[in-house]
Amino acid sequence: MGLLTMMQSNLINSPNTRGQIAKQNRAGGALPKKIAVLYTDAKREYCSTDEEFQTIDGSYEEALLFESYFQKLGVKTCYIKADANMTQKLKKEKPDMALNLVTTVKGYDYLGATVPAALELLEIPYTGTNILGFSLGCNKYLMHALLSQHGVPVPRFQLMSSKTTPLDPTLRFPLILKLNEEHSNIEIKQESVVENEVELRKRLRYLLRTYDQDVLVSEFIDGREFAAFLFQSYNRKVYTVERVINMPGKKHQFMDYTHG
Amino acid sequence: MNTNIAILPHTRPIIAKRNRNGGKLPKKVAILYTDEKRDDFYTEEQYWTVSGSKDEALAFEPYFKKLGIKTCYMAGNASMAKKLQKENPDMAINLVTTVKGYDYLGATIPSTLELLEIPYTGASILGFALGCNKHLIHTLLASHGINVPPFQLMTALSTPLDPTLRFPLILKLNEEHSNIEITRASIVENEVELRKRLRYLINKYDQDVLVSEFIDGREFAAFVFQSYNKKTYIIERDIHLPHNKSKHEFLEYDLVWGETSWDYENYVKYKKYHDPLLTEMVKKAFDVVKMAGYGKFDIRMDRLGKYYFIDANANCHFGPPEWNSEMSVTLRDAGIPFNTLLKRLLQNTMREWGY
Repeated sequence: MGLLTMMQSNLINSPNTRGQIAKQNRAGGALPKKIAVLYTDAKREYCSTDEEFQTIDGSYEEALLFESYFQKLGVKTCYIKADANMTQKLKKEKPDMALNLVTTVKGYDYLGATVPAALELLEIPYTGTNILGFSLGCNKYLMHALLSQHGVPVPRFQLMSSKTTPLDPTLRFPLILKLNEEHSNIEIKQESVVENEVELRKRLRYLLRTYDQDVLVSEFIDGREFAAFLFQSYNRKVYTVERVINMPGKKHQFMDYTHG
Repeated sequence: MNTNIAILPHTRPIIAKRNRNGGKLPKKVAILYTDEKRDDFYTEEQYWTVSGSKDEALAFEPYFKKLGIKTCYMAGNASMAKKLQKENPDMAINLVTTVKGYDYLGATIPSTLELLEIPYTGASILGFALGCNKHLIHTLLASHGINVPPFQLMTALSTPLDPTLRFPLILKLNEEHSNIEITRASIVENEVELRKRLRYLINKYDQDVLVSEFIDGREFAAFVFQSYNKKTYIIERDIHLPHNKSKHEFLEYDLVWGETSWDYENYVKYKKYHDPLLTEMVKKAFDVVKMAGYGKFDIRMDRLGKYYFIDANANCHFGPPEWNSEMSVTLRDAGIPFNTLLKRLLQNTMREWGY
């Protein structure tokens, strides 16, 4: 069996609920009459740092940008922020589906999984990933382990959960340190790439102290960088771009927080 | 190896750090149980595994009374959030195994509790969602050096069989617990039998199927109970299936839930088992698959004495000894009164959440 066939045969399908519901309602494909646009509740007190807050600030305004497009499609909208009252509001508004733009709840990315969970309970169709996908996606370490187990190449990596975690001697410098449960390039800076264990320990101490969160340490891959976007309609379409990054005077070129 | 263990989502330790006086007992507890509606389930077999959930939840009542704790009982469904807001409990015991007939929707329960900031027992959203996908659990355990039988996920009738797998193989529904569709026909000796069984499972349940090598040999159940430290209790299941003509002995659905379950004690004997190596592996597996509070692993040992983890259950039957569930019997035999166990669980959950 070829590698591609092997990989495809081991891919995990979506949880079987959607397939079942789709079978029961074969009329599908009609546009919804009313859509709930769900956005991140951006409050400064939810975030450990200003940096973190910047990544969600303006979420409501971003959600409102959809309005003109929905108007053109003749679809009614309601805008709801993701907090503990979201379920009640959804019950009141009774949308036909929800557009899930929520990236973080109460400042925690992993609590974003509460949004698809609430929508599943209320049986409201929604865009984007499901509970498992969302909660997995907020754990870089699990993602690396799963990809690697399925034959998708990832840089060699290790999870560090304390300042004294011994460094895996098989890892080769330069290494890059990332917060295990954060997205949006948070704390991805020039200091994130370390050339020796002294620098590594210094950076690790800073990240653990500031965020009280595990840190993923992986080999830094010098070279070209790409972003691949996947859009699932009847088929999956993949759009790939190369990021040509040129930061003068820097040894390693990569997307840091300032680019975000 | 320990350095690679992913810890719990970081919210709880942070909250616990802010409130270090913790460990006090809650004044009011919500006991959440599976909403058992026959319409939610494909088969009678599936329904039987949740039937009686409310009665089982009510069995907690005398123990809470002894502890002087008020209770409220709620079914795990879409109205639960509103009821929780009204009752305003200090914490919740999550006994829900399935929502609307789907095990993986059980993750909506910890999710609702997280949003409402109510401390709860058992696995978090991620732990619950992971625990309902045998293939992911196998993959994660294997990637952490915990031995699992060689396996493959089959998503269609025509999925080619991985030629490195060796018969006999066992076929399990990827997202089901409670021994559903584990029958003598689940073990296949050749590809003809495999395709027949695969067709039956996919047609009936429209669900992926995990195919793994069947490990002939001894079988164990390991229970982990997390208080200040993790405690592990292991038992060996000595199984002799009724009227068994084959050489394979394992825990089938009928023995646990079906007609022969009335004679369960005649066919399955329990023995305490102790192996420090297995204990360490179980503790590690508990962290790897993101369990919390308590959990169960099923393990088999081949004729060479090698252990294989064959299943993990983050939300196993937890209840008073009257239930006669494996966990309650094991803990009772280990000399731990249920009162003590319940008190520890409540205190530990409150402490973790910083109360």
